[in-house]
Order: sequence, then structure tokens, then C-alpha cells
Amino acid sequence: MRVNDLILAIAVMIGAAALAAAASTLPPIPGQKFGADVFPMAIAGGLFLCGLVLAVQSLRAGAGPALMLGWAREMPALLRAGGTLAAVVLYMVLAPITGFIIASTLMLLALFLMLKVRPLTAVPVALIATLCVYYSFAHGLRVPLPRGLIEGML
Amino acid sequence: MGAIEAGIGLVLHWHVILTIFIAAAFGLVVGAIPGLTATMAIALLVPITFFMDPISAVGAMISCSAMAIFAGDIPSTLMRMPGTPASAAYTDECYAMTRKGEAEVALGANVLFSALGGLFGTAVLIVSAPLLAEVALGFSSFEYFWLALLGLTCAIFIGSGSPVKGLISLFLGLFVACIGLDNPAGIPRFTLGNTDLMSGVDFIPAMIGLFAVSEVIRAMASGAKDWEVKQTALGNPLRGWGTMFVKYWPQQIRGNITGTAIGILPGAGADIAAWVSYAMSRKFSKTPEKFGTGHVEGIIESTSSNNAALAGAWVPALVFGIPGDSITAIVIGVLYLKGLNPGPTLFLNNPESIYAVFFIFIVANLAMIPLGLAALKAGTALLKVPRRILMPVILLFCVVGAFAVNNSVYGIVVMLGFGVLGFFMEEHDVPIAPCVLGIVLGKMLEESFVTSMIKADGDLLGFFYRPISAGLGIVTLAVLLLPLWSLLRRRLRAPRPA
Repeated sequence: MRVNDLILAIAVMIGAAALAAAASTLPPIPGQKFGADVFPMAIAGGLFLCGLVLAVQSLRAGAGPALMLGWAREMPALLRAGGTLAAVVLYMVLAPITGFIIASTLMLLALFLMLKVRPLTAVPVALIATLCVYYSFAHGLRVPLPRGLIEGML
Repeated sequence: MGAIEAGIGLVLHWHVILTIFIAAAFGLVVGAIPGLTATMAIALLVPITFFMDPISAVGAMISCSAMAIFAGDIPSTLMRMPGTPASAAYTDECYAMTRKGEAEVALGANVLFSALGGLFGTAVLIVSAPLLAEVALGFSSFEYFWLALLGLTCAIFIGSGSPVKGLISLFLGLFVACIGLDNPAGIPRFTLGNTDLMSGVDFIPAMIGLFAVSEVIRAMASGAKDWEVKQTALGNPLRGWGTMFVKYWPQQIRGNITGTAIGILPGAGADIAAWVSYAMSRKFSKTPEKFGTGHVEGIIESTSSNNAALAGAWVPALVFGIPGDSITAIVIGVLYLKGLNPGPTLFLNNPESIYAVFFIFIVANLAMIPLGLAALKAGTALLKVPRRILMPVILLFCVVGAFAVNNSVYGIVVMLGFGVLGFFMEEHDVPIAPCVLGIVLGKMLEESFVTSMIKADGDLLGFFYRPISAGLGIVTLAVLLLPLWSLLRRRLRAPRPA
């Protein structure tokens, strides 16, 4: 999934303008000519120029269709890409409540099922991978992974 | 002499050696799996290095990256899929050899010449780094400004297809480096009132996101289909080592020198070194017509070159704190965390750790030969691991690794954000490496620029008053302006359409 270079260029220029606006609100260092705003302003200027050049280049070359869907034309692919992010968010929400083991097993399970791994394989692999990671990180490296009911019993 | 012995002594502990070998095995696995890069191996390794002493951590990163770059040749030979981008230059050549039934010769050459290239780069590192460090002791903010700018400029104009997109990536990285309290005025910049952002964007979760999560998202979107392995039975990979070594020595030396030189150049690394060396080999070859038909000559030159570049990239990283490629960019972040702040003073205050680094490089490259040969046996089996299982497990490692950096969910959020960013950048052919260098070098660039401007009282010519500074400035401007000049000349010469 990609937008054409012209739209990318316009987005870059808008981003640059927003950056310049934000940088201009930074207070100066008293008695100094060069403060916290100099560098972000230079970045904004550079970004804006890049956007301009990219826009000119793509206009000359003929910009092509505004949105090339590619793989995103296929609904399943789009769902899997979005589902991957959702699975991580699910982990972040669940982990403080249920503890690491349940949250991680569920995340892996969701991902496996999205990739059409058979449930008979997916469940044990998700559980084993979770336990391996839990033991090596929580016990081996002493990372305080979120604790819940199961971790309390282990 | 005391420092050299102390340095070797630091490495010769069983836990350090063991760490080096485990990291090497990890690098082999990640490098051998197509789509997983050497940089990704390092990014995934970093959260674990938090729990090691400095020398083990550095050793793990050196051996992991060296192995990953070599292991990338395994799938490129057997399946025509480069395991890491550094193998891409000669993938077709290796695969052509496989089709002729000579996979073991190609792989054998990859093992031997990768190790030799790495050792050559190491020798240059050992000789040149201390000498350069002595020069660098006299550097002021003016020189550091130019060096940082030179690194960023090279990354854009040498590395990417479209310089404009490279520049956009770089500015993105520099913007990320701006976030937080750590700026000349010490005021919160672009933090949106968020306390987590006060200390800046966490570098390691950002790297895990850019290099690992983006790849997982891509694999998930494509359904993580399994690969097709063509040739699985391998003959004796030692076949022809002697003849290749004798017959192609000029190619080796040329590959070694080119690779090391490109590695030392800030901002350009193993990937580019392999492309340049392959092209060079073809140009100077007596039998250029054989290239592309499964001819080992170009493979030898470019596989030497990419491993030599890996060691070369450590020269600017150790001496100036300026990364030679995206791997050393991550390494520099870890060196700071471990209190081994890179820069010329490291050579004065902590020479034994520098010698330890040199020694680890030698050990890692020597170990590559036996480990590499073993990997050729294991590598074919590795390619049969189902990706549908592998990709979700990698994502779990990313999540736990990003969490472990600060033991906070904030790391996972940063990782996810940069994962999506990296994914979209690659979809739009915007290279990632300049962004990473921007994040790493942003602080140095800003600090040296603002300090220099205050020193010179706003006079831009102040950047050219000191001799080394002027020299660096001219080189940087030349790298910046040469592409523009050649473009302009082509325009003027091109016949006008009637």
C-alpha cells in the first residue's frame, strides 16, 4: 500500500510547516543568539525543500495513481497487518491485568490463527514459546515481566 | 604492553568466550533466515546485552554481526534470497553456481573469504584507530560538526536510490533526536507534555521497531509463506580452497581494501561495500563475460568486502563516536549505556577495553571458519522452519525486549510506533539507514553546531578557520555538491528536444 510521490511530498511539506510552527514557540536562551529553536528550524527548512523537490520530480515524471493498494487490495492481507498491531495492543492492555503468561499466550495464539496455523499446533507452540521467554527473561535476566495469577503460582 | 595483556585478559574469561559463541550462533540463525538482517539481529540482541558486563556485551555484538553477514550468503546461494542485504550484490552469481551443482564451492568461498576479509578489516582497525585517536584529541566542536555532517551526507548520497527520499529519512531521524530535554537550552522540546518523552525517544525500542517489527508486519501481511529450498545435499565445502586462494589473490586484496575503506567512511557499510566490490571485480576481470553465469571470482571479491567493511565501520565509531553503518549506530548506543563512551579519550582512559575489542574481532573472525562450516550443515535445516511459527515468536521477542529496556510499557509503544513508521517508509522506498544515523548523530550535530556558532559569534566562516576543520568541510561540501554538479552537466550536454 503506498500513496504516490506527490501526496508523500505534500505530506512532508505540511509536516515541515508544523515543525517550524512548533519550533518558533520555543523560548530563546537569554543573551544568546542560538537557542533550542535553531536546529529544529533548520530541519523544518530542509524537510520543506525535500518535499518541494520531490513534488517537482513526481509532477515531471507523471505522478501516477494517487493510491496504489498493491497487497492492501486483498482484504486478508490488510486484516493481517492490522491484526498484528492489534495483537500487540491486546498484549499491552491484558498484561497488567492477567500477567505476562496469559497475555503473551493469547497474543501468539491470535497471530498463529491469523496465519492459519492449525489450532492443534498453535495452542501448544504458543504456550511453550511463552514459557521459554518467561523463564529466560523473568528468571534468567530478572526482567520484572507483569505478574498475574499464574506467575504467582510458578 | 600492559594494556594489551590486560585487554586480552578481559576477554579470556569463560563467560565472555561463551557469550561470544552463543551470540555467534544467534547471528548465524538470524542471518541465515531471509528477510532478517544483521542489523535486526543486533537490535534484538541489545536488550539482552543490558544484563552483561561491558566486554561481553561488545563481544556479543561483534561476533553476532560478523556471523550474520556471512550467514546471509547461505540462503542467497541455495534459494536466491539474500539472507541480509549485504549478500544481495552477488546473490544471482551464487545461485547460478548452485544451478550448476557447485553450491558447496560458492558457500566454501563465502566462509573462507568472509573470515579473511574480516581479519583484514580488523588489522586496519588495530593499526589506524589509535593513530586517528591521537589526531582526534585535538578536535574541537568545529571538526565534530563536519564529521557528523560528512557521515550523514555519505549515508544519503552513496546509499540510496533516491537522494531526496534519503534526505527525508535523515531529517525524520534528526527530528526524533530533537525530542526531549537534552538540548542547548535544556527546555522540554516537542514532548507534548508527556513525561516519558522528556528523556527523549528511547533508542533501542525505536531500533527494534524500525528493523524487526516492520519486517514482521510485512511478513504477516504477505501471509508468511514458506520458502522453497532447491539444493539441500551439499558436497565438501572445503573443495577448491587452496586453488581459489592462490588464483584469486588480487581480487581478495582489492575486495578487502575496498570493503575496509567503505566501512571506515562514516555512513556507508557492508551492503554498499559488496555492491561496489562486485562491480569493480567485473570491471577489472579478464573474463567479464563469465560474470552472472556462476563464476566464483566476483563472489570472492564481494564477500571479502562486506566482512571487511564490518570491521572498518568500527574505526569512526570508536575514534569519533560516529557510526560507519547502521550496525555500529546501535553499537554506539550500547557503548554509551555501558560507560564506554566512544571518542579519542576512550583510548587514553580505557586502553585495555580497546585492546579487548580488537582481540574479540580476531577471535570472532577465526571462529567464523569452524562455525560457518557447521552452519552450512545446519543452515539448510534452518530454512525449513515454518515462517508462520517464526514470525509471531520474533514479535514476542521484540515486545519483551522493548519492555526490558526500561521495564516499562512505554518501550513497547515506541517500538510499535517505529515499527509502523519503518513499514511505511519501506513501502514508499524511503531508506531506513539515514533515519537511524540521524537519530544517533542528531545530538552531536546540534551540540557541535550551536557551540561552534556561539564560539564563532555567528560567523559561518568560522567553520573553515582551523586546518582540519576546513579540510573536512571541503570534503563534505564536495560529497554534497558533486551529484548536483554531475546532474547539471548531464542536463547541459543532453541534446535539446527539437
